[in-house]
Amino acid sequence: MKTIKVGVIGVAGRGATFVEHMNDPEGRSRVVAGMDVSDNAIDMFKKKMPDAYATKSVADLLSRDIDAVVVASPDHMHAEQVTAAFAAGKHVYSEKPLGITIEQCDGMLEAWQKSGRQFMVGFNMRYMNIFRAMKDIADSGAIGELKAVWVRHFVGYGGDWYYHDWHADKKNSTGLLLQKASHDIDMIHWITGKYTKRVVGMGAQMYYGGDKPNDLRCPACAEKDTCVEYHYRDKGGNTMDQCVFRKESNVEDVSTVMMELDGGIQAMYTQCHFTPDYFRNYVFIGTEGRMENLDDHSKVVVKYRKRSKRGKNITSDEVHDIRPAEGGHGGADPVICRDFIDMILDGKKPISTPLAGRMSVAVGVKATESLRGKSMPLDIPALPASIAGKVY
Amino acid sequence: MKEIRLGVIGAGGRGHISHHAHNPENGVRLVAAADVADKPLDEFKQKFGADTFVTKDYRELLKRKDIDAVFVTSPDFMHEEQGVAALAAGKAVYCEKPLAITLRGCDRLLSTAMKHKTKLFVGHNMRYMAFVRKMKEIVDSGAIGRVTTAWCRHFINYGGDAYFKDWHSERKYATGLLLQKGAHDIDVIHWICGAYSKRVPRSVRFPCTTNANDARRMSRV
Repeated sequence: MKTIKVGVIGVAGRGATFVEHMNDPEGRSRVVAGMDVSDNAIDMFKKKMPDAYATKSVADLLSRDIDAVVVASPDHMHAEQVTAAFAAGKHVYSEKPLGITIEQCDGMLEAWQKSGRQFMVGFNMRYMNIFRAMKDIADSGAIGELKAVWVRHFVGYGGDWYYHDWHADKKNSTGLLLQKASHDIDMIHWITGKYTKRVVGMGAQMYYGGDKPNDLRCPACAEKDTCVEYHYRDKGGNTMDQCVFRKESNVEDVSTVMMELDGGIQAMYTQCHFTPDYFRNYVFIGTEGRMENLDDHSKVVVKYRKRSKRGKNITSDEVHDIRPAEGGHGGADPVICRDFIDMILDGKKPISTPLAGRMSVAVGVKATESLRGKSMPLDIPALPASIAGKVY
Repeated sequence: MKEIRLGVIGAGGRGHISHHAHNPENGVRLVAAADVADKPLDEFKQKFGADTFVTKDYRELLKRKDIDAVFVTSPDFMHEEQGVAALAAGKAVYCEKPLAITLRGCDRLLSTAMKHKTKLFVGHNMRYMAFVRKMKEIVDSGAIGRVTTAWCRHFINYGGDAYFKDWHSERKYATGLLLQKGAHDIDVIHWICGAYSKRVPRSVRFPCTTNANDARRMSRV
């Protein structure tokens, strides 16, 4: 049996997940190399994977005898690294968002087409049981033809995840409607089966950002004993401790996008990065009913529009209890890694496709452009002719 | 103490809200009604007495000197004309929401009230609902800090019944349901946040896809 040899670019933080899950227990894949710019990350990687090759250079990693590369670096580096990986003849898994501009995404899709290799984007929510259940309900036709989608995203970890580090500067992330919402925009695309045609955005930075110096870090701050936003360490070993109230922070912490999808479906997504709780709440409304998740992992309710119930305030017609899963991100991470390996070894088409990655970025980019302008409606640009109709 | 005498323009349907104001023991009496239909006028007479004044022409009602205030509970597109006439006639006005279906209409009502020094009240009854008042109280207390964001989702299960079987479903009469139905919710947002809207994005596009499968819908009984 062939074992896919995997290299991971960015081995701390999100990358640490791949270092773990790309080692298939059945031996179909193994992490043989890791790259990071941080000494600390390299040390952690070596401890975990003593036999693997560790390097600080992407070019060095790509020159090794590896079959596939996972790109889990900061968002603005994906495009260059993914393109280089294809040029080196590797299969590629890119973490979401695929890139931070539409041009970057289209460039990656072109490089993929030229390479003859396999490509996948890390939309792990497509592998979560609760969203798979919602997709099944939508596909079954039970609630009729989908017409409206309303998504509220309470990002309780907003400060921890996005304002203590590079994400807070738009030159690295474009904005959080692209970065954070890329999952949710993709969920809307995936569950409705339609891509967005046009968007309107609205948003502002209302809580983070401010007058603190750009070089201020939490441990050295005079307010460290009282500040609610005191620094954060993630499970992957990253420490995020840049001040969330520093000057350079310029991405919106409250934002909304309205989308018109193919076929006329109207969707709305809204996020706030300073809520007490963490929760994404989805409502899909069809001509015959609606469904909604009541939490992030365990419960979906369905209500039907029937003549006999007209005007009655029903709590639910069906409650779907979702099977719990093991592993990171609601059990999605081990499964998405397996899907990547199945794609390479068996030619299986992945559930999380590169085109979906591009379309989600396109919505994020255009919505951000709209909200930073006068909230005018903007069209989503079509794929370049070189790849239109060829990519999935 | 002088008795306050009330009239209602648009006596059926939402006009019934005026019945709550009728309180003769405490000096408030509903004495007149105008409507274009016979039925609500007959019912009004039955309920409030043969000596009440009913008319099919609201202008006749406004001519009466013995009426101090009127409820304007006619269809939305009539509020402007009838409200302006009532205010100009010196009557205090309870105008059902939405105040009018155009900005110009609203401004005319406000300026007429100012000019004639008559009182104008709009029927945003959600400001009187216990849950809304509680939310306002929580925000005003400062418990959740400075309010930055308000999200409202509105699930309208009787939308078909309430808005698509009569005049509400035509733009010329209602402008749209974001104005008609949303008037309450937009007001609650303004009221609880303590700030009026400055700007709104235009909608993506007016949805015109009416391809719902009728046969399937009918089977859902």
